[in-house]
Amino acid sequence: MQAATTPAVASALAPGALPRIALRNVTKSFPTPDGGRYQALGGVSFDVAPGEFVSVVGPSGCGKSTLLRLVAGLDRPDEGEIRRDGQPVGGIDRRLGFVFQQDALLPWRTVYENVALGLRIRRLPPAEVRERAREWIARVGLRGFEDYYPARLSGGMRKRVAIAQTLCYEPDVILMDEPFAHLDVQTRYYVEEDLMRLCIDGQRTILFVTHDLDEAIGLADRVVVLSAGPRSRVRAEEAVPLPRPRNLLAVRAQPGFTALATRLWQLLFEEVSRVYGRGTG
Amino acid sequence: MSTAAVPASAAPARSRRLPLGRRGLSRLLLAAAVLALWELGVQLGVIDPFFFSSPSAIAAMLARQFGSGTIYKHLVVTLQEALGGLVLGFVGGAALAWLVTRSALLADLVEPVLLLLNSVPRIVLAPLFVLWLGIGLPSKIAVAFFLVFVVIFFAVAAGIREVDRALVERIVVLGGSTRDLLLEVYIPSVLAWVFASLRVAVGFAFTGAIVGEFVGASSGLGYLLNFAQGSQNAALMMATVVVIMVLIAGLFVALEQVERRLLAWK
Repeated sequence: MQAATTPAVASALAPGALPRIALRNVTKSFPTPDGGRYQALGGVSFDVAPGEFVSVVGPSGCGKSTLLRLVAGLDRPDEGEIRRDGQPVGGIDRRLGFVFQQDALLPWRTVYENVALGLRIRRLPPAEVRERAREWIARVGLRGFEDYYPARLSGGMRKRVAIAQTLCYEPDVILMDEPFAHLDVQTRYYVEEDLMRLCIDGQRTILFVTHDLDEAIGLADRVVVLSAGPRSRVRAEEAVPLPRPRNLLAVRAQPGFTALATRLWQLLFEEVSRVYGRGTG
Repeated sequence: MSTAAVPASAAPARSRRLPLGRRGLSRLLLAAAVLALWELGVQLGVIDPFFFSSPSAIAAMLARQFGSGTIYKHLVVTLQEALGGLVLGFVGGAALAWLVTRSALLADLVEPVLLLLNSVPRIVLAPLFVLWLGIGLPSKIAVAFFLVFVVIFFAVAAGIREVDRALVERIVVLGGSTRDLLLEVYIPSVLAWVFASLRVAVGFAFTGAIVGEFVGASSGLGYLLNFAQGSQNAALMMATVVVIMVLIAGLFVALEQVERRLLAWK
């Protein structure tokens, strides 16, 4: 029901422009171990404009990760439709990058080989692979670590490798599924700053899933709040009224940030209470 | 007591071990002492050389065997049988494991049989193979194959099944083909599992070849052992055992070098 009161869906889009990603009444359910089905998504609709950074927040179990997997083409929605530049998504999209919650680096490949992986899979000429991989290793601050295996890197460094791996083949859409959830607060701050410096250029479109509201607001142009599962839908969409470039620490003190954070916290808190209310009732 | 005085910064588990050079030296000294005692025992008449031979007699036997070149024929035969069984067992085990992980029906049919075979001493079938295939190379290769095959099957099946789903999805999302999946994820993952059981497999290959030769053969190190036993030649028996042990130890050292190179990422 909340979805009906959602503000204009195409808020960030110029009239007549095609959204980079469009979700319309997307539903998805999974079989449960007891033989039933759990409907994670119950009709999700929202748009992401080209060059926009959209954060998706919601209580755990609301289907945030499922949503990203559908957009990436790793899974198909049961009903509804996902369009990318107006075309229905039907399979893996090679112009798209996906940063997972786990680093998912190949343990038997070095930093350099991991970063170059996407380029090699695209069968780019070896000289270009070398040049672009080296360039991105330098950009994420890992020069000198090219020949290290992932096992010898810290969590923050592994995350940087994953980001370089995704960015170096220049996808125009990047999906991120709680990429920094396992990092400590300080490391996380630096990696987030890196992400803003490297990704937010008005060209790349980013869909960023997190459960951390400060992170969601600090990084994004717009925040989408999903309701608690099962059958979660878009509870609210709010534009982030903060200028860029931003400093992640300074931005938190701005009145616009605090007001939005309070409002979204209220919404999120209501949704989380519904989960717990059901659990104990 | 003395370790209590070691400052906390020193790793207690390692401080008790000698440095590598000294460790090697002390082991050599121990081995030399055992050999010296053995030799002395024989010279003093405490140890009966008829049953136990003596280090000097074994050394003389080794010198004679290698000097005349008679041992090489047996060495080559055993090596051929063991390595043949190892390679075939490797290929067969890996191929069947791959098929089984692709088909649930095949897994249901094959796996119970292999589990049973894995839990019994398969070597007891050596006489059957000799009966079926004769006393030449094929029967020994078959025994070695049969021992190795089951081990490799379980290692490869585990490697394929335990493959990290996140890595598979990573390759898929990057737009990788089946070939990319195989090269980047499946083969390295399986390799790690296979290396864990490769030493067992090498041991099994030689066990299969040598026991097969015991049962019935006209050449090979196992035949030589059997012959030495029949002619009550303790020195020849001991010399053959030394050759077998040095051979397998040498293979293990080579394997370790390959493993260190291939699994450097661990």
